[in-house]
Amino acid sequence: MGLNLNLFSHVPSSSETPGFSTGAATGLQQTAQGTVICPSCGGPVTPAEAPSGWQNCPYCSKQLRIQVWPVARQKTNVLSAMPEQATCFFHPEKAFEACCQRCGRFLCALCELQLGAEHVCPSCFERGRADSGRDGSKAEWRHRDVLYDSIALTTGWGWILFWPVIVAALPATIVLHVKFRKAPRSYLIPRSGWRFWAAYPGLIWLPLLISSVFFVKWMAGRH
Amino acid sequence: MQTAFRKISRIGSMMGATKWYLTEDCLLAAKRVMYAVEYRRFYLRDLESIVVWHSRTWLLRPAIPGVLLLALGGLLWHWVNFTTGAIAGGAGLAWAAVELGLGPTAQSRISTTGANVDMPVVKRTRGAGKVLAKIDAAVRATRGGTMEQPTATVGPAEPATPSSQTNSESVNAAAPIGDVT
Repeated sequence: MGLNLNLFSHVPSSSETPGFSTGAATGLQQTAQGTVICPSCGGPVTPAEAPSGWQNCPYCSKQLRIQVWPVARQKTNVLSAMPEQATCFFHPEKAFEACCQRCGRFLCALCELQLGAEHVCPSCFERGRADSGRDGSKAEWRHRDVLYDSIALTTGWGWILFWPVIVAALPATIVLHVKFRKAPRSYLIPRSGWRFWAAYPGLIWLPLLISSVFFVKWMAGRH
Repeated sequence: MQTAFRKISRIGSMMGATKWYLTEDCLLAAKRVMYAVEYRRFYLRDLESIVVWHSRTWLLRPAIPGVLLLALGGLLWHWVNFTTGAIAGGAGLAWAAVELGLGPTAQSRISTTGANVDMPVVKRTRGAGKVLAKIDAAVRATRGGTMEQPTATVGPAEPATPSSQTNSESVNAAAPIGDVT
């Protein structure tokens, strides 16, 4: 699953004919009428105002709810470099536009990726995505989190399905808790760490039950 | 830096769930598969359209469990007694009624600059208006200042910096870049 950044090739889309909006988007600046592609038949559908918000495809009568926004074009005219002018690291024929704030490479308008307030080059972007698991502070680059707390919770209670596994489940839960205790708060969508604690009752309820039965028996035997 | 995430919808499935969040600059899909969450961002400045439509197979949701539970109820009535059969059959009818009451499930297509992605944004079509309105408000808030100046984030083409370099290959990565930008 990748991020939706494709600045290097032009992909035809519904944006070729600039947007025509319905509903609440009418306040935005419009340039011309446009269409979207019907997901059912592939025919062009012109968004229309409807009180319910729903409209039918004129070709297949599929009910659609369409929300269109005007296309906010970013810079499309990449300047060719003049002689003696600084050029792009990746496109030597294109003029310098900005500097990568990570590696310092010169970039043209095609290569410059804006990530929050930062301007980076494609290679730093890819490197940043690869390292995002270790770099918890860069929320913009994060694309995956492993839910260690959920693993611990499953380990803590899942041994019931095959009881001898408790021998491994107990240390595994403790190791997960100790090693990744801060992980839930550093997820892109932070979570509290209650799942780590909820794993322990799953581990101790059966031993506690058995030991209490033996204890009661022992007490009964004494009296 | 902690970004504020505002949850706008949740779509459950057998293997996990997809939650949609709005941040100040993007629409974030957090798709949980087993013990991992994968994030996908749709930047609000790139959004072109969202189309929501009724799922083709939504009637199977009330039909299959409803029929199965009704059949189980009939069998229990025949083999056990009326009460257990009525409980199972009633559960099947209740399931079907709730599903029909909640309405059709939704599918959606998100179109951004250069990509069309089929991902459900809402679970039911009846909630589509509310979710789309939230996204629309966020898009308008994001583009409010840039609609008039589409190139504001990139900036106008500046003349080449007064540098003797003609190619960035020789740039020292450790060199301060504040002067250049």
